[in-house]
Amino acid sequence: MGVFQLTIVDYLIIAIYFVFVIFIGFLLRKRVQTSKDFFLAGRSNPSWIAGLAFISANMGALELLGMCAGAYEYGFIQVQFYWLGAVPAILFLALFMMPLYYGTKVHSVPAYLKLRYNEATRGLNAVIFAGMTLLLSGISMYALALIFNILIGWSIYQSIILSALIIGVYVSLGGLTSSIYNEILQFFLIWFGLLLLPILGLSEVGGWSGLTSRIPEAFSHIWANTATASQNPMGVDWLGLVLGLGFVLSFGYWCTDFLVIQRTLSAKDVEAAQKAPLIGGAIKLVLPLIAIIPGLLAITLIPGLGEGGQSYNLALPLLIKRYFPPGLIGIGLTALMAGFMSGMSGNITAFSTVWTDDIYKTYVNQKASDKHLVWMGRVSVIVACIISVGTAFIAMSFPSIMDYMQALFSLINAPLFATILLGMFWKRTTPWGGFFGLITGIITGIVLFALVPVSYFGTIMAANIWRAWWTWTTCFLVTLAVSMVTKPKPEEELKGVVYGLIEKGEIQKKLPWYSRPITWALIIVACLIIVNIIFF
Amino acid sequence: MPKKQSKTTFVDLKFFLGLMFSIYGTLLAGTGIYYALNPVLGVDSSIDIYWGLFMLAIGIVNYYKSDKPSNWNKALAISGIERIEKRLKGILDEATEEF
Repeated sequence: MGVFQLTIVDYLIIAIYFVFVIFIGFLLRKRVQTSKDFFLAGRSNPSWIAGLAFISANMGALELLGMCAGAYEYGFIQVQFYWLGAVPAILFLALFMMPLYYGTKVHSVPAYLKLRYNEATRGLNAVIFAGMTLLLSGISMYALALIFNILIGWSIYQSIILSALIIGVYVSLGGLTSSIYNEILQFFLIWFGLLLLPILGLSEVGGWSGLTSRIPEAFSHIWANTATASQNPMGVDWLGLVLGLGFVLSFGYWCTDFLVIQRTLSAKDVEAAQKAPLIGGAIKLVLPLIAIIPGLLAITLIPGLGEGGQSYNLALPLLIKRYFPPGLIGIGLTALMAGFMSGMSGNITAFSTVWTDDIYKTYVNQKASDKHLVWMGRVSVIVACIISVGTAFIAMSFPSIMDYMQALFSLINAPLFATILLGMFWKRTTPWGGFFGLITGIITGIVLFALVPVSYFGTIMAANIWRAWWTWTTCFLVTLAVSMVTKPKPEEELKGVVYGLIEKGEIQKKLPWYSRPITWALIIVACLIIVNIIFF
Repeated sequence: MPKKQSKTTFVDLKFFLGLMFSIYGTLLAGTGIYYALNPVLGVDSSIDIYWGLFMLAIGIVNYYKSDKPSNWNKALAISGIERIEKRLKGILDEATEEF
């Protein structure tokens, strides 16, 4: 028996959602004909579609449940995962990196590494990234099953197989387009399913001032208690936050993870590709409304979580149960389900592209026709779903899936950020510098993970943050050192691939000031500063 | 002539958003009205009604503004013709250059 007793209307709402996502996949099947259609959605999406998909692919239910649980456990400082840990990196991606990613017309991040460095660097990253997406997809699958087991009493095994089946069908039929369309439906469902929680909760507790008066003082600030690690519930000081979360982990994820970058590559032109992350960044500013505020409300409205076996992860579902009548419960649960499915389909589409384009076409069948590649893309989606069922069971064996995810990011994304950063902004970086820097960074992460106990860092979160910092630093320094003693690529080969070697006006049209990405970015920066001051 | 978005994406997302929100809005508002007529202790039917009507309104607006399925095939056909034109132009340009 689960937390909720669903009515027929709730089941109907969930069923309608399944019908919609599969229907969209079927509808798009005959419209997806080329590999560009399948892997890059035809590069035809306007900025708002690419932008919403960019943020939705990251907005899995793990994120929603995890952030809400984090707010319950650590207080409002959890919002730093959005404001410090996402917005600056997203702006950097939009302004400086998107013109290069998009302008080189690559299908994937590994393909960019081949252009900038060499085949070995691309191969290394492709294989590691493909493995990581399968692990992450399994985590989302397991988390979905776990939540539905707790909330409505469904069997974990049945839930895993059902979610794999649905995602396998709609992604294999419509490729990235299908995934993106569903992510946008999921985005709106998540907002409409959860927005009532802060509205009803804040009106019950007497608004923001009423809420802050009911929770501990340290729980209502984001910077005021970060002078030392012991002053705030998270146990991380401002330096750790800025270097680890605000720089390495954040830039490592948002600027290099192909899962999110693939959505921006589906944009119709470079302006749309730059604006897509900016739209995502603006949404990240307001996302705490449905992901963090409910966690703070739960501290006062649902006390006792985290004690006696009651998981912090139940904060959001229990608030849904507290406020939502039949019907709305169905919408709320569908929103959670949509969140998990968007995270999972994001990983599956990213895997499919990297496998087909960077591994299969490069190392297995170099003469494959475009039609064959689309077929391989479809097959790889099905295979990825099956493997994800297996990795879901691996995820089951870890005590905390959120820590497991952060550990993966610290091993893989953090060093990759150093490789791409140097490659994009320093033309002297050499192909072998990039390769050896990347591999050394990853090995450093694995050694730290295996040999240095968490107790040395204090908490698991601190361990992940500092491990990310050291893997990034190692990769950065080794890349520099090897680049000094090896031969760089000739400038001719780096045109359009390195930041200083893009000709002005080569890929960007002249836009009116109000439409320029820099104007949008400055507005977002101003908003970011304002919210940081308000909630200091 | 289909609208600009359908010409580039072939399937208008607003159509699905409109349809889904209209269905969900109707279901929610209907559930709220049912519980208003048949009150159950602890069930606040007014939230369902207000939120359902709000979703229904959003759904109708999106549906009304969307490009309907009857135009999608036209968009696909136009795009197909454009692709053939582009390919022919490319062949012609190459031939001209060689000549």
